[in-house]
Amino acid sequence: MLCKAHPRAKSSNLAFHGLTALAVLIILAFLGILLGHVLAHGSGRISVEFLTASPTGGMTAGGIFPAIYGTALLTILMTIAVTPVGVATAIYLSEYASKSSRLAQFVRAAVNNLAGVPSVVFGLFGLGFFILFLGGAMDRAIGAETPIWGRPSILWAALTLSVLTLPVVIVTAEEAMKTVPRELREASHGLGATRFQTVLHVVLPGARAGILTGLILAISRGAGEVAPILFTGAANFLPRLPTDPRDMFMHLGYHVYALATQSPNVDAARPVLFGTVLVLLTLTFALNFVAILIRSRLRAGGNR
Amino acid sequence: MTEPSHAVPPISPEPAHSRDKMRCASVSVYYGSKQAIKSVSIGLPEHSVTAFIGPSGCGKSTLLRALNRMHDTVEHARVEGKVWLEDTDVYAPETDPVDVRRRVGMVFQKSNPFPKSIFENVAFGLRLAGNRDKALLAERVESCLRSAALWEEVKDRLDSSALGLSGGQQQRLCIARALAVQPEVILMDEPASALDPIATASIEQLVVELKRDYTIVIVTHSMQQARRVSDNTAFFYLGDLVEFGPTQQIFEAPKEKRTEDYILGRFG
Repeated sequence: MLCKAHPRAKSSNLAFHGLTALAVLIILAFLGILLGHVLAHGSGRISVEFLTASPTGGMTAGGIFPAIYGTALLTILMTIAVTPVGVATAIYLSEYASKSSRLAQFVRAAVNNLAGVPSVVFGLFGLGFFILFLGGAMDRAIGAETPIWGRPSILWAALTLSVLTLPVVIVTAEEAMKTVPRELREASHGLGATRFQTVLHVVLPGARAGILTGLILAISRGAGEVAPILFTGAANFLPRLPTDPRDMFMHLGYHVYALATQSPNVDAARPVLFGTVLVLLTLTFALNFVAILIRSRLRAGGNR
Repeated sequence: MTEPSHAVPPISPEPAHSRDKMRCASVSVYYGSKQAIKSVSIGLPEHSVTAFIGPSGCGKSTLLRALNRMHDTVEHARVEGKVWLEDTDVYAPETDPVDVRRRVGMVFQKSNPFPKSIFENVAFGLRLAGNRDKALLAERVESCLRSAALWEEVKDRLDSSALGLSGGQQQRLCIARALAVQPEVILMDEPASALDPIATASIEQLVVELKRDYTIVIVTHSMQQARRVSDNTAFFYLGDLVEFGPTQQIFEAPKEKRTEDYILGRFG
């Protein structure tokens, strides 16, 4: 016998459908308002000069090139630091640790907890550990009178950010390695490969796209974070570009914060503010887009 | 060829008999606390095909994988007893499992080519061993593909992905890949179970040809296949080696009732 849906079940189904659609609409509306506002106020400010010149006139005129440069350099240094540590940890968890290993479970729990730590705590950690403890010890070792290493710099800021983004890299890299079929590992072992050779020639190439996606997500997260670099190296206003790892630097996210709260003339700085936000958002979206592109290529079977 | 006649070969912790390439002495395999192979002793004659038959879960694949220490990579798997590869004690502490696997190659049930080019698949084991001579690599890849009866089909597209090959071609590529490291023994774990009859026939023909140069052990679900390709057959049931002897004798005059019942299709 056929069961017909009760009329009330039908209407509540419809209502639920409507509610979920409404939730989606609310999210889209917020995103639309945010982007529209930034675009409307910021796009007029974007010009070649804005992207290539230093700020002038109490940060109300000129460009934001030092902040773009600083953000890029910071992100590159962070990537150099986070990639080997993150990928090596993922290799350990996925390929070497046994499933019941206490250490591996402990590391996984630590990584998950690390991901939940508020980013400002990372900033304080960077100040305490990298600058005061590590930098201070280096200064004492070389007998420096004034702090050379023991002060905020792009190096310490990059290392602080790399600790912040480590969980993203570890988790995505481990997931990517887990998707490499067991049969391929067996084939490699069956041909007389050592575990290390199997990781190098089978697991890493198979997980390459996934690892890259994780790295890009980490970069796009790291590039936008302000709190961790607040105490560890970002400068309020520093038109000179950093040339040494011990230099301080300007940063897009921090520049937004500085313009909004510390500008002598907040109203005059507003167009620059919106322009800076637009550049920062574009950068982050572009990185996310690249990550999505890589992932969809991977799904399409482009994992050659 | 040779005729290992006794149903249960004598248990001796000694190196392989001169005509046996490999020998198991009281080998037991455990997965955790479950015993999958119960004290099996068997000799595998050189330059011949030995078939392991038996119903699913009888332990035939488990024993096969014990022969080249593939259980090392599986957690909770434990092997007891002695496995001899000529006069090498396969499980001795000083024996490197990597060396064992170079001498005892493996072809798996599911063809598992690497997501690399056809050429790179065959060259994989050679490159691992540090072979960089391009001319030598090309020569070995060709000869292995010829041995695996695949050369004529792929010679014009060595650089295209191995994943573009048909199932039967992929399995022959896996055989070529195993041949490239010049093993002495090749273990085949149901190599044709996922293939259509034509691809199966070409694999079977290949197995028979390869025994000239290699010692082959093949696990199979198909009794017809065991009968067609093997010189000796071992029948396993519930982790025990029930009967081992020349294939013809096993199929035409089995000594054990359980062997006869299985061969006549009364169970399994």
